Formats: sequence, structure tokens, C-alpha cells
Amino acid sequence: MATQAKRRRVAGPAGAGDPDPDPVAGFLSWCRRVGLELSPKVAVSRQGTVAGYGMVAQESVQPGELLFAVPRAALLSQHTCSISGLLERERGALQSQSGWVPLLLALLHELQAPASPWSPYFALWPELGRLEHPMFWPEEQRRQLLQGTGVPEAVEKDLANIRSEYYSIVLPFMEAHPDLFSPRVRSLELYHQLVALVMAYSFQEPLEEEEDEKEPNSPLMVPAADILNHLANHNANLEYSPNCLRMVATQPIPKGHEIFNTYGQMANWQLIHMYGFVEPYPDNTDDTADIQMVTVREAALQGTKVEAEKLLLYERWEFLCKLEMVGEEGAFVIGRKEVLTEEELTATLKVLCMPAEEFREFKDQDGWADDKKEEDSLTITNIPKLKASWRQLLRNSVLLTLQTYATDLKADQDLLSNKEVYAKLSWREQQALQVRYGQKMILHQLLELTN
Amino acid sequence: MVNVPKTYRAFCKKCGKHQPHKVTQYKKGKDSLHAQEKRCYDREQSGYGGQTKSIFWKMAKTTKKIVLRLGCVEPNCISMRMLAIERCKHFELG
Repeated sequence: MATQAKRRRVAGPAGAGDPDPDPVAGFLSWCRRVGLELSPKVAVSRQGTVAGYGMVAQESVQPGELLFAVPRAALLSQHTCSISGLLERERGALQSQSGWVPLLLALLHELQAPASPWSPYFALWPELGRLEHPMFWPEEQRRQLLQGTGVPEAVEKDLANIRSEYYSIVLPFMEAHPDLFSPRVRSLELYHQLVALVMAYSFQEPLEEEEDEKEPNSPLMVPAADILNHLANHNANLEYSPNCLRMVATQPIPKGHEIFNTYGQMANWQLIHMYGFVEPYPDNTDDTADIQMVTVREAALQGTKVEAEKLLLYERWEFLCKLEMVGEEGAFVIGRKEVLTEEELTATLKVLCMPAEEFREFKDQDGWADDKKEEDSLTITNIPKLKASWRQLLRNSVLLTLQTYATDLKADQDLLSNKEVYAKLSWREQQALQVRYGQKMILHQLLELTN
Repeated sequence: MVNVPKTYRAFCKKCGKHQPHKVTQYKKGKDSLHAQEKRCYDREQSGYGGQTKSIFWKMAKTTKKIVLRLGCVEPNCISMRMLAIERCKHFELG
């Protein structure tokens, strides 16, 4: 039931003393003007939603029903904005690792344009000064609350990239075109906020199967579609057609229930990093915990005694790198029902645990002697049936990973189970607790399966 | 540019000796729906510059390893095996 699945409601931005006419009415009127048709069965609302604005079903909806269609001309991207020509001409200068600079410049321009075609759309945006992403938390708080989850490291990387791209590409570009970017948008702080907004609200059109090899599409803003909140157990999704983007129901939606899109199969750590929210335990069925690949190597190293064994281990590791199964930066991803990086982890356990002579032979044949056996599958039903050596290595890797957190499972469990204590935690503390707890539960499940 | 002959002699496990083999390129069968939703676990997929609200996450790699099927030509032996070769952008048989 949707009520069960609801996330705790976030306290939305206050009115800020600004007696604006209802921005929703203005937005809906804009929708009509640009040909964005909303089914009468849906309503934009701040009531009955898990956070901020959301869309609620006014009448029951069947799977397959069209909720609304967004014409491609109404999208806001580097190709549809008022300075699209300039951005296209200057494409080379705006190249960067992220690929987000042209869109961000489009947003910076439209935000300061006196009569932007998208002004009524901007009116529904969250208050940029109140975004919940960990990138806005003080660094100390981030480390203290999210240690071991992977989020602090990811945020540090983002902050460095944002700063670097702003000073080397964005600011020079804005200063070169001062008539298009008024001084009030030439701000690193605003740039940070827009990056967070793009993380949380933008969409990326999936590539076709055959276009696998191309660069991923740039992000773009889809008015109306970005109003929908996310749940793992979602009931709508976005379909891309040549002329428009269609939000279609994927489950029956009873009257009064919120309509939820899916942002992808997201773990809580990814949700908090990119979107600033989490799903409380046990709602996020897509939650995962990572085991760093080098941690497995470390666990294997612990099992070696003499130098010769250590050297052999490094040889095995080199071989796995060559097969592109592992890397210094990568992680094995453990879900609730199975290991998601099955191929990589199976190969790693196999190569690290096989007897030395077998490894020699395996290496010579370049790893293609065997066909993949069924018993090597890494689902929760199958893990207890793996070879003892594999289970032991897996177990030790989990134990090492659990040590990277600041607290153990019990500490988090105590906070979570005590409703009074939980309620007294700040919003950030609650979110961070959910991220840590979900990961530790997955890791502990793996411990039990490898016992 | 990788060019591989259509037949060549290779060790056949079943026959226990080198035999001529026919070479074809291995193509994956139709993806099951589950496989299609397989995520790319490259950490670069998250964060500034990463994927947003995309249901089908794409592989970060730009090339795939080419897999060859070697079929033993010996009339009574129908053994096949797979052989992977290095990544390349263009691949040709013959």
C-alpha cells in the first residue's frame, strides 16, 4: 500500500514572506500554453506527498494510462534554451569531464533573463538555498554521519570537479558574454546549487541498445515530470518518444495516492548523494552495500604467511585486472537478494582461491578453459553452497568492510528501534542513519550466508 | 582493426589434438528483461557528471571484448569453444 511506502515528510521551504500568487496555478497555465497536457486525473500538490511538491491521483488510475505528455519543445536543455546557438558554436570550449557545463550555462542564462519562457517552471523549483544534498553539509558532519557509506568520498570528488569546472570554463565564459549572464548569476555558490538541482531534477535520455558505444546523452530538464517523487516501488515511469516524453502509469494507482516515478534502481547512498533523500528501512528494495575490490585483496593478503604467497597473490590480482574484472577504484555491489556484480566477484573468488598449479594453467589459457558453472551463481540461496574457501574470503572481506564504519550495526539498530530517540535526531542524522543501517544489514546478511 | 581468418588450426579438447576449426563471432542472445536492467557499477556513474534519472544505465566501456566461437571441423566431433580476444573497435572475419 502506498501509505506503507511513504517516506517521512520533509519540512518544505517556508513561504519566505513572499506573497506570490500560487506558483502552481501559474505553472499549470504555462503548461497549457506550451502544449503540456496533464490528465485531469492528476494534480500537483504539496499535500499528501512525501516531500515538497508531488503529483497525486485525483481518481484511480490503471496501468498503461497516460498521466501527461511533455512536448520536446517544452524541455529545457542546451539545445532548446535562448542561447542554444552560442552554446553549440562554443561546444569545444565548453567540453569537460562532466559534460554538464552547457546545460548549466543554459540554466544560468534563463534564470537571469527578465522574461524567460521558463519562468513559471522555475517558480516551482525548490528553494536553492535549502537543498538537502550532503554536498551542502559541513565536511565534518558529512564524515561523521556517513563514514563508510561511500558518500563522503563521492561528494569530495564532486566538489573538486565543480570548483575546477566553474573557474576554468564557466566563469570565463560568463565574463566573455556579460550581456547574457548578469553579475548576480556569476556565483560559485549558485553554481553549486544548480549542480545539485541538475543532479536531483534532470533526466537523461537512455541510449538505444546499438548505441551502447556512444557518449551518454547530456542531462535535460523536463517540466512536470520532475515534480514526481521517487520510490523503489514506483507506479509510473517516463517513456521517450520522438515528439514528446510521456509519463505513464505502471501500476494501478488508487485515488488520493501519490504518483511515483523511478529515477533508476537506486541504493540509499546514491539517493542521498544525488537527490538528498532516502527511503526508510526496509522500503528500498534496490538498496545495496559496496565491498571495495581492494578490500577483498586485503582480506586475501591476510591469509598469506610467506613472501612467496604474497607475490603469487599479486600475480593473481594482476591477472584479474587484465581480465578487467577488478580495478583499484572499483567495488563489488551486494544487493538484498543477490550480488549484482556477479561476473566480477565470481571471477575474483575463483582466481584468488584456486590452487597455484590450477592458476598457472588458467593463466596460460587466458582464463577461457571453463564454461561458467551454475553453482557459481551468487544469489542468497546459492551463496551458502559455494566452496568453503570462497565463503571464507567473502566473509573476511565483509568483516574488513564493516570495520570501515564509525559504529557497528547494533549502535544503529538501537537508534532506529527507539522511536523517541529517533524522533529527536535531526533530519540529516536520520537520513544518514538509514543509509548506514541499510548497508550494514546487507553486509550482515552476507556474513550469515557465508558462515 | 582486427582481422581473423575464417578457419584456423587450434587445439580441440575433444579430439585431443590440433584440428581445423571454423571461426564465427559470438553474438549474445536476446537480453532478458532482467539483464537489460543490469546496472553499470562504475562509480563514475554517480555524482557530478554521472547518470541522472536514467532507468537503463549504460556501460562505461566504449568497446567490448570480441568472443570467437571455434567449432571443430572434424565430422564426428561437434565440440565448440569460446575464445576471447582483446578489445577492439573494428573487427573483421576473413
